[in-house]
Amino acid sequence: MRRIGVGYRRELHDWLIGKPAGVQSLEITAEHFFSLDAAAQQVLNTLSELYPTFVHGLGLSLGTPGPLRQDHLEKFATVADWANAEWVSEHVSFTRSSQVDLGHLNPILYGPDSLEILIEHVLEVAEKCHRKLILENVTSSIRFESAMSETDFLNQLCERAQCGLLLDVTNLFINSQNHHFDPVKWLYEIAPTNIVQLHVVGYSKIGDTYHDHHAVPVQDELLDLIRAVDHYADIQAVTLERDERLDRIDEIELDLARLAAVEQAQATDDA
Amino acid sequence: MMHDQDPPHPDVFPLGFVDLLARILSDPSALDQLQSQPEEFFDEFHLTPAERQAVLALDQHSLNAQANILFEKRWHEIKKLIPLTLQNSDQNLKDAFDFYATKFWPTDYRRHLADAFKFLQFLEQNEIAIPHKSEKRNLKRALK
Repeated sequence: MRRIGVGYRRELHDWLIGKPAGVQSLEITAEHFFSLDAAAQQVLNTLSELYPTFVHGLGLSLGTPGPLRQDHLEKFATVADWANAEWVSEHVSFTRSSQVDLGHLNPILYGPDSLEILIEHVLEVAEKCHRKLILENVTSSIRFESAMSETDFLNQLCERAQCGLLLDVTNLFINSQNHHFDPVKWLYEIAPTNIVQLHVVGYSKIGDTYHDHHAVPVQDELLDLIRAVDHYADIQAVTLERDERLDRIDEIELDLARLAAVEQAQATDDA
Repeated sequence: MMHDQDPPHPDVFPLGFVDLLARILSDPSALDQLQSQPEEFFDEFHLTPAERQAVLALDQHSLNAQANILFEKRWHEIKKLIPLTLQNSDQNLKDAFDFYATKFWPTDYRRHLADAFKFLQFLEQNEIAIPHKSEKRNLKRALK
């Protein structure tokens, strides 16, 4: 069953505690709970009793060569336990080097060396968390001339590291527009069994460039892309990933309803 | 460059592709050097031929765009945390931020709080603007 849900944000807490219709799952951002104090544990316990949850990391920097930061990994695993997460997720990217922490998801070069680094890190995180790890595609202004295509890299990574994909439909669409490729063709190059969860949120556009500001409702083109994914893969969850204008519950509820309608149509087709 | 943790010694972990990319995204002078003197710039890093080629193939526009995202994201979050300081200053503090942001990169998981607090300290120490007392106090409390 495809469970529709949202990314948990403190501004949405009171609304979510009320169990609004249309929210069937919650994604927890791990770093938001790294205080690991009694209050954090209480919130996570409460949320996990109300919703199936998934824990999403931002700062493990799986694409950075060398050992993972163990203090960060420990906290990540603890949040996953406290949230009783069904799975955990991170990104195919790096956020830090040995010299600087950029605090933002940056692209990696798709090749044999980076593949081995990712595989090693994925296996370590999955073992530490005792849960499946799924990996998200990121947006980037940079498009490297790589030895491997992005889709080939992701397929090999999933197969060899026994992980799955968190397909960010918005990120895929943004990259396809900024770098001029067909997102559906990209989708069909991914093995469908790899796709576990989707992220979606409205994109922003400044001039001719598309951005992921996580601030506006989902556009029709993104729903079309979700329909294409729905026909292709057996997805377990769809998460609306809103970070800005969180006072607009009306917009969030409308987006959830539209996502539910897409899933209902697919369920009817499947029957 | 200030940061909260010492980097590993370069003899233990040679600087590689990710280090190079992070350097040019975080330091405008490094990006300039890459573009004006690429071979000298590469000397500091251990790159495979494929990695070297991938860097040389990058266009300045896309690199600048990716770097701008990093800095604009930090500014966006800081603005939310110190609106009164920004409002009370008779200067546009974005220029001050642009300078400060290349010198300090927070590493704490509460990075935006740390960034805002460090920026207030920078403004105060360099007599650019006076931090709003409640904003400075709240950030200091939140970072304990």
